[in-house]
Amino acid sequence: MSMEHQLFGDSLVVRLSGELDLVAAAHFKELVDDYLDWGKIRHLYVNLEKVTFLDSSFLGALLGRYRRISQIGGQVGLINPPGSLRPTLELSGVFQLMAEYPSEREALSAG
Amino acid sequence: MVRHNRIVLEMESIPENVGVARLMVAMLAAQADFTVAEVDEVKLAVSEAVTNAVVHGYNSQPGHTIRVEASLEEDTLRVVVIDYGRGIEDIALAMQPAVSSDPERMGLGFCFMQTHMDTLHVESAPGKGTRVEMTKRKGMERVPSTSGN
Repeated sequence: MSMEHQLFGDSLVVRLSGELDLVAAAHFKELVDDYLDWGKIRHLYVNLEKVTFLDSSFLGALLGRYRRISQIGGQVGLINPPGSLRPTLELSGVFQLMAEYPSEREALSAG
Repeated sequence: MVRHNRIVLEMESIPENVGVARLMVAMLAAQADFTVAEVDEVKLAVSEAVTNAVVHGYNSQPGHTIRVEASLEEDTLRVVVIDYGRGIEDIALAMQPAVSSDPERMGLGFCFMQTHMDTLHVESAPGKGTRVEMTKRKGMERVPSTSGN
């Protein structure tokens, strides 16, 4: 798993790769909550393009951040999730809560 | 192609070992020529079972043992995940989607195990631990069946 992030105004883009489980969930939560605690961001875009696996731990961390961001009127978007992850994402219901974008550029211009 | 094999793994109850268990079982499934999609499903089910052992069985505390037994018998992969932790009071309730004792989690763990494996059997006793047994046959149209006691 690797994770990098970049701030664009009040939008945080987090780029993830590899396998996202309990370990990645903890890192992701810590990173995003740090920005939220300092009031630095309003929107979160999660780039899943290079992710090969994710489980309910990571989905739980994603949903937890969604709850916090919704409370401050922001939005959470998913960028380019691979087809292999689609069944898991659909079963979890996250597509009903989070918009999906084909690229970071489109996510940022929509937000 | 391998038709009979068996691997047993005993490991520390830390989050980093969820990926170790996933890799071990995925390699066993790949030996028996499970498809890439089937291996992905097995990986997800194993990830959920071992995560439950770490997070719920042992309250995310290290220093405890999780045992993973994986075996291949012809076309069927069997995975058993055992912890000796706090156990589950009400298995039927714990297996319902969106029931989780932790608000950060979605209660999807058992749902993913049920969806991606052919059989799922959970035994648990409060204070003694939990044993999750799952099987998957390759090349099968899945008919999920579940039981608990």
